Amino acid sequence: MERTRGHQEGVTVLRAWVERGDPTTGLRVRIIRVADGERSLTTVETTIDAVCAAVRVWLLELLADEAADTAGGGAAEQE
Amino acid sequence: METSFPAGLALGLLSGFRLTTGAGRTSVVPGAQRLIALLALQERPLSRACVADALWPSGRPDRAGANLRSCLWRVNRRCGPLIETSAQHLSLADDVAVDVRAVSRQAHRLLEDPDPCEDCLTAATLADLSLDVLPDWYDEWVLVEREQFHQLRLHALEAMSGRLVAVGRYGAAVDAGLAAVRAEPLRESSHRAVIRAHLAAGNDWEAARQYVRCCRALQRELGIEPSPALRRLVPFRDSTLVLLR
Repeated sequence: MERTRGHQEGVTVLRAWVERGDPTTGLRVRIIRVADGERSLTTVETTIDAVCAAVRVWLLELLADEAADTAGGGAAEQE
Repeated sequence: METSFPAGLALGLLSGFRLTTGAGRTSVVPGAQRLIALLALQERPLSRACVADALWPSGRPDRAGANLRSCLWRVNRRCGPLIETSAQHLSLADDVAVDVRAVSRQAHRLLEDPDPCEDCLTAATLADLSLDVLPDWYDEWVLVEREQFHQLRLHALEAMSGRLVAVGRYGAAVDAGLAAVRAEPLRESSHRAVIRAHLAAGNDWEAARQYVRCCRALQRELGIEPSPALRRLVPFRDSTLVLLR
């Protein structure tokens, strides 16, 4: 896969299943984060809200990294 | 990889990329590996545009198309008649044996076939079902296919364990269940398969140990206890299980 310099790519895989057919207490979601072609972290959550919060944090981290890279790249270009 | 193929072209994607021709293992450059793997993971022809977009998503469409033509030329020159082409579509040649396809067929038999499937209850099948598709590749199209196969193999390993218990092969049943636990340590049904195999063999204490391992994993990662249904499988009092925890 071609990558542009300073360009972050992230993929989040949600591997979800329900234990005992009970969606109230049996939801399990393994969150597999992939950044720039490498697996970086996996966690597990048991509620939809917690999954949404984890994905939101992940996106914010990705955006923060992107902003840092952009700022760093701009400085390098000015030198 | 334990699956054996007939003479000719064989493509292995479980555990890593491996292309074998009649002359032995063939080295393929990474770009060509991706083209071959993408076509192998789809059991239908793909449009050239779809393939170019999947393999070179960041580039301009005309550039991606040029990359694809160049890659196709390299593959055909290096590997012979591996890819069938038409004006619009590409597909892997029908006579290429692909390990993922073969193992998926075995997995579906374990899950759905009303017959005993004794030819699937082998160490080779267990080894194949313990592997993931191209584990070190993180292209988006690989992630999707890998997850799909991962789910299939989890279910198949549990079914295999149940079938092995039914024919009295308790040791192999435990192995199949443990392979499922390794693939997903928080899945209760995988722990249940191991516990049932131990109980069927008369090893109640081993069943209790597996239950405790499940408790530890769930407590460590989620802060919860296993379900009451799993607890009821284990023929010991709580006070006894505490000694193991």
